[in-house]
Amino acid sequence: MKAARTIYQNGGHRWIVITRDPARPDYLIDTNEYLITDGERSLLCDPGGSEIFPAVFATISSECNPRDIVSVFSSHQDPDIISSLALWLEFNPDIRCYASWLWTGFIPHFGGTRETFISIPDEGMPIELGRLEMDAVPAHYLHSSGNFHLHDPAARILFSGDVGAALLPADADIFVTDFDRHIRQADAFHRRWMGSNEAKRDWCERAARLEIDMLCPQHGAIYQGQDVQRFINWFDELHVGVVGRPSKD
Amino acid sequence: MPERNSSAAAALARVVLINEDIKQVVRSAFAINLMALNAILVARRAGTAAAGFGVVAGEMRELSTSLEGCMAGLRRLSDDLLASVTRAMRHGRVERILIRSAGLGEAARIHLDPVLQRSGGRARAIAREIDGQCAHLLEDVESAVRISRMADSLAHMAKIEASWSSDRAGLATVSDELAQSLRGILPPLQALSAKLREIRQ
Ligand SMILES: [Fe+2]
Ligand SMILES: [Fe+2]
Repeated sequence: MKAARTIYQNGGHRWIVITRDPARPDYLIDTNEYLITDGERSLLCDPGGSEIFPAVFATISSECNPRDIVSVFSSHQDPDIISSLALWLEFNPDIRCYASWLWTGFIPHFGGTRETFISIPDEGMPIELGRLEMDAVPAHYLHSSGNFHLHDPAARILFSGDVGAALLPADADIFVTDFDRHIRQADAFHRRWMGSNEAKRDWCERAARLEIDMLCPQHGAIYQGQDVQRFINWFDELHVGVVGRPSKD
Repeated sequence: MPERNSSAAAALARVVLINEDIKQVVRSAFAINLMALNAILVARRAGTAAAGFGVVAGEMRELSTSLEGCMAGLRRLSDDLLASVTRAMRHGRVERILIRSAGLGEAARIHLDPVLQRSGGRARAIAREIDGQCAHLLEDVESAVRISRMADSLAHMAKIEASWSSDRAGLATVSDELAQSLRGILPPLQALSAKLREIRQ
């Protein structure tokens, strides 16, 4: 089973991270799933791959009622993000999936029908959960060509998909504790996976305008406090879209 | 549950072989059709003495056309069977992961029990569907066997007719070729029904 940690709570409004599965086979990339709850309604961010569904499902079940999950947010189309969709729908066929309009013809190969998907337009859209009003924030080409992050202004949390990701050992801390040391483990990932310097600049400007106390990536550790701005600045300076070449900067 | 999926995988392997058998029969039926046409023309050239041979060749051509039609029907059915077997495999995979999930804790088990029951019901429905498709395919294979047996008797008659005609040597060669092609039909049909029975078990 994975670990579940509440990273934010204010009354019935909660963010739980599901992370660090010691039983995960090493050929599968490690992922973080985030469950956002408002009272009896929950949204699951990047529910993960089908192979890790048992661990994610069991962890969520031990923490809260999985029946409360009314929707999932798919930052993009990758298998580590959303290939478990068929299993979630087997559990509850009424679950709705938010995803970029670009991918609503592709993700159904993992499961779901026309009714399952709520297309997010390129410019993003508000996403409601109970009384919460969140925003799908555009992050195209970082790394997917139709890519979104999810901002919860009340909790001041940004779920940032693959942006901010780092490949860490299974016993690593859930939060970034030493930014300079941590960012070295994120460097190669961002250079290789992020495809566009222009898109990255746009995103950095957009993210800098948002109120963010915690930046929550799908792999690795959560940035909080000063480390959020530190990350945005670091990312802004990074030269991305590089294969095999040493960096210019 | 692993048995269920490995049996779906075995069924898939059999459906692939069944399609090969069907293709082989279709190739033979096509060849017989052309040969029968050739036999009709040869009989016409040989004149009234080969009229009987011509009639038999005409019948043979009709049979091969109905065999081709029968095989096209089989092909469609086996495509449906392939779709069902694939669905069974996919369903089996989902079911296995759900079972693994239910085994990871009491809370997960409680939430997944009704899901697993539903899922088991669906797996049984798919299995029934596959069984029905196999039964249907077997009926069509039987029709194909009947047609090819009739064609076999016609080939015998063609041989007898050939011995009475004036162009004995020419017609004998044609009727031998027909009989030869017919021999290529029954074995794949028999192999096909054996595989269908294995899937049904
Ligand atoms: Fe990705
Ligand atoms: Fe990822």
